[in-house]
Amino acid sequence: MASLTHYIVLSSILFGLGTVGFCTRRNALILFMSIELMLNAVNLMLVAFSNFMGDMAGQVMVIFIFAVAAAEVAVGLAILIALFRHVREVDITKFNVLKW
Amino acid sequence: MEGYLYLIPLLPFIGFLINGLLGQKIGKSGVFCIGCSSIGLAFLFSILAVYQLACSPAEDRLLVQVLWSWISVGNLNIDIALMMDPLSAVMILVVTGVSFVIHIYSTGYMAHDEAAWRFFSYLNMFVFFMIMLVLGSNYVVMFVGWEGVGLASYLLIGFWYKENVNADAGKKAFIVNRIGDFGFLLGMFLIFITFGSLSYLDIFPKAAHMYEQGIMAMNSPVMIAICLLLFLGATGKSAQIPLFVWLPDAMAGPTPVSALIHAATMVTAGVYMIARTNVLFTLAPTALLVLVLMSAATAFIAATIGILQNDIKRVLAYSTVSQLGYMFIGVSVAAYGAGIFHLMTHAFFKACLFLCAGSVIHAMGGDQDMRSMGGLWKKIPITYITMLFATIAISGIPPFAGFFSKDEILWKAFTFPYYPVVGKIVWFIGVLAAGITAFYMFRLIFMTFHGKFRGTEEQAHHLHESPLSMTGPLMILAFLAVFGGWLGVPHLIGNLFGHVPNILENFFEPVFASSHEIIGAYAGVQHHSTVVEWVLMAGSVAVAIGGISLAYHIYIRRVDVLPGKLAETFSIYHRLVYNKYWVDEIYYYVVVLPFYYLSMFLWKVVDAFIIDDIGANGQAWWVQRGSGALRLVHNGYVQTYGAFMVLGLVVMLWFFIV
Amino acid sequence: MDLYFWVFASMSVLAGLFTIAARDALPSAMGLLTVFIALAGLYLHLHAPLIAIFQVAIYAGAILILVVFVIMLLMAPGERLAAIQANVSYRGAGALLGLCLIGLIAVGTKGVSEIVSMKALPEGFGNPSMFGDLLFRDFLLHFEVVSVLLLVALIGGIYLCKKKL
Repeated sequence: MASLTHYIVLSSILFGLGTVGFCTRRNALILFMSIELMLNAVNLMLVAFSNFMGDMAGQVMVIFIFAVAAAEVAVGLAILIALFRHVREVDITKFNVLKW
Repeated sequence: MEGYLYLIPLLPFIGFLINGLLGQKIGKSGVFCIGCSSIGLAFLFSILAVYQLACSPAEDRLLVQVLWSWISVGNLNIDIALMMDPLSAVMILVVTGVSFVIHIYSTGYMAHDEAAWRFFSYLNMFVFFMIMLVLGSNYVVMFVGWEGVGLASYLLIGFWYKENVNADAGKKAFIVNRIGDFGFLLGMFLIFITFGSLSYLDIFPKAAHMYEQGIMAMNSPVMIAICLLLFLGATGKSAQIPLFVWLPDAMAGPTPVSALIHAATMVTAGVYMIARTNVLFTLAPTALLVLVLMSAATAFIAATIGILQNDIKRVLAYSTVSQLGYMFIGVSVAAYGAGIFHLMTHAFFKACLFLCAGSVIHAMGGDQDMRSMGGLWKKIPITYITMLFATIAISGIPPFAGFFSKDEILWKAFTFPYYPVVGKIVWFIGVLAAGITAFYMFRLIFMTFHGKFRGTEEQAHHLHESPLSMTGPLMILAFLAVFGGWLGVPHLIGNLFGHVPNILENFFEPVFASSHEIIGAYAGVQHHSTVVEWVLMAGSVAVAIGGISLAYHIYIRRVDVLPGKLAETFSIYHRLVYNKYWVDEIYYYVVVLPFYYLSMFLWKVVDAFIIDDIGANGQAWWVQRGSGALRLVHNGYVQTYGAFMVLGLVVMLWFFIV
Repeated sequence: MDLYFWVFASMSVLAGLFTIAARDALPSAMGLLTVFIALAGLYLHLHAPLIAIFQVAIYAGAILILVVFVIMLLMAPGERLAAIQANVSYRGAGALLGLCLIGLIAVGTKGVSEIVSMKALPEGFGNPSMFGDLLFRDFLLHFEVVSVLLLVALIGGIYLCKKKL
């Protein structure tokens, strides 16, 4: 039986992968997918703790995270499309106008 | 009369306000009227108060009026209170009387000046502060008066302020005065710490009591410190070494100012202060020793400088410094009454001399240099006669006033109870200075009034006697200079004429009683032979006559040749004395310039550079640079911001985990 | 040796690696799908069947579809991103920090399993009925707030897609 530590390590690996992807990739859509990856890692951690501590509240929290993730993806992609209309690029390094 | 003491200072104060605020509207005659009558009324009230004082029995001669409580904090209770005892009675009569006479003189002297209203208002303000100084019943009121007369002196010296010289002279007077005030303040603080009060009625009985009970020994360090600090204050106000340098320059003011402030009243404040503090000084013989040596030095050195001055008012200024030295000799040999006596006679004859000088200057059309005068006695006879009387008085020829007071001081110096040997040395220096005084005063008379007129043609035409408003006061003061000394006839001479009492000494008895007791207990009752006294008296008269004849010889008989030849023969000494021993130059290089450089350093380096550029502007500069560098982090890329977020997360986790 | 766990765990890690390392967007999306499915399997193993269903339905079925649609909309096939590297230092630093993060958490939570021992799970743990109890009783307010959140997102999405903003 995999212990809690295994799940924590797995979750952190997935989270770290998501971070690396976020910081490294230039394609905006892959960026979004890395963010989703991070969210999922957190979900996994929550469910694992809920299971190992016998408290259902963790799972309820995961439901909420689902909802939030969905909302975030919807709005984020809408923004991306609106931007795309102007810049015609999905390379986020082109979106650097808001700077010093 | 006790309840009406406040009127004496109040009237000049009201005169000051009216002349100051409304002076330009009420016209010249209004200004003169208000100015003179306020002082005249103050003089009347002083006479009434002194009369009441004199009518009371000797032990009871004290009038005190408490006006209101000024400061009351913890142990410190300072009231605005006026006190009249025999000492302040004499002082107040001198102050108000001589002021009144000089005010009348000023109506003539300043008749053509358009700022006369300002003059009279300042003069009234001065008299107000001087009265507060003299009538105050604690050191704080005295200090208020002290500072106030310094202020009035500054304003009046620089009265014709449009000339830079006058304004500079006023500044010099005020600043040098302030240096002395520093000493006065420290002395006051020490007095408060030692005695717990600043009021005369508390301190002096307590001091005598502490000495008698043995709580405080004779010559204790605290007492010496207090006395020396108070003396420092007195040197500033009364122009003794080392702070006398302002008085000759103060002659830049109008002549009535020189007469009133720098001859009769303000400069005597130091003497009055020491006479008032007589108990404390008597308990500190070391301080008295320092005082007597310094005042003897002042008397002598100032007299030597006076020999060679050519400006008529400068001669009189140095003469004032020298005579103040005499007064200080008087109070520092614990002969406080003698010092005040000389103060009184000096007020008479010095004021007379200054006013006569003013009359001469008026006749000469503003020229003050004696080298362009001569043979004036025919043209301005009244001035000549009054000035001659005053000069004989200052030379110490009996029976004129100066003889009695000067001689008493010299005799008391000779019989100094604490340090007899020093006393004799001081006596000798005093006699020498008396001879020199007689010499240069008669030099002044001979150069000004005798011989041939050396001025220009138009000055010769301009010569005329002054109006009555100016000559009247001259006559009054000359009268006092002749007969004023008879108030203090010494016992020796008085017994000759059948028990003529020494009025002044008896009058002062209650004020200086505890001092005399302490001296009597400490040094034992002294018996001096009358023969010695007669011999000394005759000696000083002889020296004075010798000085006069020397002046006659040089400036009348051999006036064409001798002054020039003497100047050549003793050229080094001539130059040294003529340049007043280069005191001003020494002070400039030793004191003023270092301070100037120090303040430039503090300004340019400490203030402008360290505090402003590094401290204030520097911080701003650093913040600007720092934020200028930090803002470059915002390069607009989302991933940068994400990286920073992860950095923050890592740091936090590091803290908790590692 | 929990085979079930190891299979799905390695599947999710490898798919995650593929997601972030793929050259094009569409293969990356496929990788993400694999991650979702692997995680759903793990949820099943963790007595959370409802979560597993929701994972597949919402994440894989809605969110991923949306992402794929946008990929199809925005990126013409064959389009490659230019090779100019901007902002390398910060991105590299971020990647490095991400790896540090893994290490930290892994190291930091070393002894957790000894502290949190497996409790006996109550009867019906993870059942939808129990889930519904919690959601509609104890967490009702949170539920309502989330519905408002979804409303806001809806409105925002509609607004952002206007022709002229």
